[in-house]
Amino acid sequence: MYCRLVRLRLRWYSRTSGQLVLRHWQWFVLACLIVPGPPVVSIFLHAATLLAASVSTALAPAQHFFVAIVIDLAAVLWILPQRHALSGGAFMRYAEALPLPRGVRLGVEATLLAAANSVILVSAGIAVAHILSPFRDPYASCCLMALLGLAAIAQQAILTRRYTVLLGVILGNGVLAAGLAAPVSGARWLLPITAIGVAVIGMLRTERFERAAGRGRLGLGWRSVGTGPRILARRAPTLLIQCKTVAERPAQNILRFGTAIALALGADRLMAIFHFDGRALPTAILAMAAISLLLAGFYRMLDDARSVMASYLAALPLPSHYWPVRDTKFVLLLNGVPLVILLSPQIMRGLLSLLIIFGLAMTYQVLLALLRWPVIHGGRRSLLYGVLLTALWSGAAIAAVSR
Amino acid sequence: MSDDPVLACEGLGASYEGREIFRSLHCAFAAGVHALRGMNGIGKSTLLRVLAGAQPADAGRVWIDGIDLMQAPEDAKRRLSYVPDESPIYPFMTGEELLHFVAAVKRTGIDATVDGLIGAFDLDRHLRTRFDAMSLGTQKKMMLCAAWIGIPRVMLLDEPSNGLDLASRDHLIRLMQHWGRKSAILFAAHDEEFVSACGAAVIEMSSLLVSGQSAPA
Repeated sequence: MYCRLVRLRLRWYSRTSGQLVLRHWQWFVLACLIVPGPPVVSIFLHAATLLAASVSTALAPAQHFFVAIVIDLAAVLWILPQRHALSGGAFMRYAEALPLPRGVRLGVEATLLAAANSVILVSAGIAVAHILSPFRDPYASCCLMALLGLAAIAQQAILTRRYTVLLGVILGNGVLAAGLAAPVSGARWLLPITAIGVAVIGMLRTERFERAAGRGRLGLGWRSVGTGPRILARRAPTLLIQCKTVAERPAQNILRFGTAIALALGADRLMAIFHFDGRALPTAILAMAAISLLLAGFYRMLDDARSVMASYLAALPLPSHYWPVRDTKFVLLLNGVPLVILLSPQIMRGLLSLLIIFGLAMTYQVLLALLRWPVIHGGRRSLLYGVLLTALWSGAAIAAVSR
Repeated sequence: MSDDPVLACEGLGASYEGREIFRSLHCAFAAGVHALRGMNGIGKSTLLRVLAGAQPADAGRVWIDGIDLMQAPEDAKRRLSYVPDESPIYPFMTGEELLHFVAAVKRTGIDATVDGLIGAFDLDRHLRTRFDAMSLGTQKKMMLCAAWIGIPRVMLLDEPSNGLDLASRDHLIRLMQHWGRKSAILFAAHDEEFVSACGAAVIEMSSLLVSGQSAPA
């Protein structure tokens, strides 16, 4: 039974994801050529170094936890574009009605996940072999396996939209981080096993809860006490729609927002390297300009997604400024995070008066609000108009704050 | 039942993808149930879309409960409900989210009528299902529930019985008969049995196109 089903699923997977997997491998080969060091193997060696660092006892528990979360995030981002191919298509909806043993289903899902992670698995295998030989520490390899296992559970949770399983994965990462920092003793072996156990129990409980409810993923009745999204649906339905629109394209939006955060953190680091001298503020302003261009992309994404509902929304009593105002507020809200990262060192070090910082933050938010116009109405020249507007603002801001 | 028109249009013109569908169309509907009948592609759905404000008219004016749809669109749309033939809803939205969204937009709540409709349509178990995971019939039921939010004076329903099971269809008929006493319900349908069961006054789309006929009040 397993062989038959896995053959069918792999056939569907290769048909629907053929180009995607080919692209993944192309990128991988390209990376092999670009990464400095011996050709092809150097990328695996670098991956090995990174994985070795993730289970190194030199790190603090908080650092271990952070690295584990980053690995989970990378694994999820890797698998997301393959979601459709891994679903098994319409056939699996039919197969759900067949009396397939649970073990067969799990085995097939695990095989598909392994196939989808083939590039990562090859590098991880070489990395494991690489880090094991000098360490000769079976505990480190056990922790590494647990780390990869947690990442696989996170991937499966995202693929099946069982987001509550992620809580178990996060908890498991916490236990694993504690295990890596624990002093050498026999008892510490229990911690990586517990880490996996916590995530697996979370997964099984979610599945059991869904079966018991028998009505979709979270099967609560109409009048039951609300969870987060249900409360949001009542109190702020527009915000919920915006959040779900963003969540609908996780890879693209995490990348966009993550890049904005990375730019802010990078600018902070650069300012520290400059010892917060005269170059620091222009650096922050230029980072703000780049971030505003990145985040302005959310306007287009929100607007495009709404086109599906356009005819229905047109029949509702919504003022013409309803969505522009709410989209602008939403993007400004998102911008709050990089803004705090960029301006907090200036405030803490007292480099500028609070009034100037407030003025800078306000004009920056106005810039981001204004960027909606070129993004939505600029057509093919939207990027050009956006860059011009941003350049104008950054020039004026640098001139205004320079002494 | 008053004979004053609740829904009216004058000199209405519309086109679809560059093709003129109708022009200089006049109509007036008092409270009651009215069925719009006609061949496929004659413009029933376009007329409903234009009357609902879901598609801009090329020319003419529409009044909803005496309020000009073009001059005061928000006020007018607060008094109307529209159910399109298909469900143009975000695939990731759940039924419950749609109902709360429409209630919030109409600045009202989900009252006993809608709650009763949810029960009668057996929608309780689908409230947390995403639209892209619902069957067409369930999507239609959800859209119909949303239409009853906010005590609308005008209801524009495009093929409301499509995809409904018998029990739901019977309930919808009773509801339309009841609401037809205080609101103008205009629906497009091919289902003769459904039209007669609703006790609807039949309006031929072709006659509206030719003479700009006013529907019987």
